[in-house]
Amino acid sequence: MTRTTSIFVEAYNTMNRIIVAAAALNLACACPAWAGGEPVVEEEQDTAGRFGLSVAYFGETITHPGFRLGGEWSVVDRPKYALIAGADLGFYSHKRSHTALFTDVKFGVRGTTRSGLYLDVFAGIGYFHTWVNGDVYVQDGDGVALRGLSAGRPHVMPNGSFGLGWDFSRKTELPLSVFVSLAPFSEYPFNTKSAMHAALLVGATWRFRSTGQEQ
Amino acid sequence: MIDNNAFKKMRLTPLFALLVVMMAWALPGCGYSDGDLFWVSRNNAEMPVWVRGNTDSGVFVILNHGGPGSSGLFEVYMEAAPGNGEVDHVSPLRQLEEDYAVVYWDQRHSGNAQGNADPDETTWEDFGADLELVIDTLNSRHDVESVFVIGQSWGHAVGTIYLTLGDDWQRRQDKVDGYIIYKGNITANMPYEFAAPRGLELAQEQIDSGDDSAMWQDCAVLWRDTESLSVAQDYMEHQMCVDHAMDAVVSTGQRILTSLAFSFRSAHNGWYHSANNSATLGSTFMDRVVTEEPLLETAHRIELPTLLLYGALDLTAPSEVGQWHYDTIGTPAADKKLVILEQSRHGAEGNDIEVLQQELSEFIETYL
Repeated sequence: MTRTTSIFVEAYNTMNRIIVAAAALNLACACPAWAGGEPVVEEEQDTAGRFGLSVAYFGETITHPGFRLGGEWSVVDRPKYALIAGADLGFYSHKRSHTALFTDVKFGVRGTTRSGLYLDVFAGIGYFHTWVNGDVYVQDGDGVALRGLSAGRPHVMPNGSFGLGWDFSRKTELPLSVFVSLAPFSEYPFNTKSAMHAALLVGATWRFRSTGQEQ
Repeated sequence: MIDNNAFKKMRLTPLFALLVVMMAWALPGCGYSDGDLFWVSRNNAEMPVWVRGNTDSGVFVILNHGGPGSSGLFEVYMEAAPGNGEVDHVSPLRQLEEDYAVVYWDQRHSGNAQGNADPDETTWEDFGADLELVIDTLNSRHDVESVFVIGQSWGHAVGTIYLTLGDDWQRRQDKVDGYIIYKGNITANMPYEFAAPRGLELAQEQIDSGDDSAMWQDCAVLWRDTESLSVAQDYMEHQMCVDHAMDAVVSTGQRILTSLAFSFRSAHNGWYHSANNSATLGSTFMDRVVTEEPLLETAHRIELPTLLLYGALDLTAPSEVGQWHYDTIGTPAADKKLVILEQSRHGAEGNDIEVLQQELSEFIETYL
């Protein structure tokens, strides 16, 4: 029978707990931000606006292709850092394994240098729906297998991301940034426990100026 | 107004991004299109079934993987539980694909299986019903003339459940032409009974030679003081000890890296494999696997032509277990054969690989 993998099992469970804890912490932090109040904006901000739309290649395990559309709002916007709330919608497909559709809300912090280089960290929570890729058969009770239709399975999706980007608006008039980020996320329930994943995102964000904001 | 210089400055960054995406796509996909991959769904589990090889032969050889918690799909890429402990070579069972269709499937909460099956709620009977659905689906989807089942390690328990447990066991046996037991166990305690004295002897030799490490001392205490395994933790410890005693410890790092490496461009999903392995090994299901022994009472019902293959040096499924099965099953002597692989631990090694492949081919050709 099996060979023991207890060290691995412990490491795996610990990673899962970290992701879930980060997501829970995110909710606690994000709720006041979502609840409102005027965003704190310092006068000496960059030339781009506080609302951004992003598009990105979403590669689960790098190579399983997908796409993510995101929106973000700088709740606190200072020259060196910003606290950001956001939401995403995306999908990916692992051929012969599964296809997933997801949406999430997230909260994070982004630190930007004068040159425009930035690092950010986000944590979020989302809804994640999966379908297996391929024909699905079920038993009809008389020893005959029938091809069935699968409605897929719902999951909760605690997630995080660690990003590196370049904000062109710091040195130019272009309200655009490009980024690469690593996004670990968890799929729960998965056989009553949770399954970890990680994705690589490569994308760009266009920042929109608020009404009345000077060019 | 957009500054043209801005585009010049950003030129390299999107180019780099594009290169990353192109590189990812350019990597050769493995197993994205060959064979026939479909799913069977039963009792909260969605289980992948991958049919490869010579389907025109009409002969379908179904592999029940080991574990619990291992993967049949992974066996397409690498031998998952090799005798030498090195997860770096192709399974010797792959050779069967030249002549027959080989069916690799992942059991519930194992390998690449998806869904929300609770290992704590899984019954022995679930595995038999799942295997029956695999066979019925093969019949719906392919021109099946003969079916052979390989029960590998824990997979032999799955095979025995299908062939002997419940009210429908005779009807189920009618769907199969031959059964192959490869390094198989149906209980935890029977192999323990034979392995513990041999393991204790090896541990004592290590301690006498000056290697009195805590591990050998702990293993010696386990094998000397534990008459029978009663909890999963003891079973895990016993497995760790026999792996060391056989000098066939599968490196955890190697296992994880290999599984994840194949996840980049193949049907295999290392994330799911790991999650399932963790769920299965951490469940009360494992306690039941260790303590419940329903198949001891039903193994005699196997009446099919049966080939039994066991390693002489195996402490996970000792050859005495093979002898017990040979003596117990109801198959007439003319239609059963026990082969001891003289150089092998828990999996054919060296020249035994050829012996294994030859015995499998001869058996299938005889009974198809």
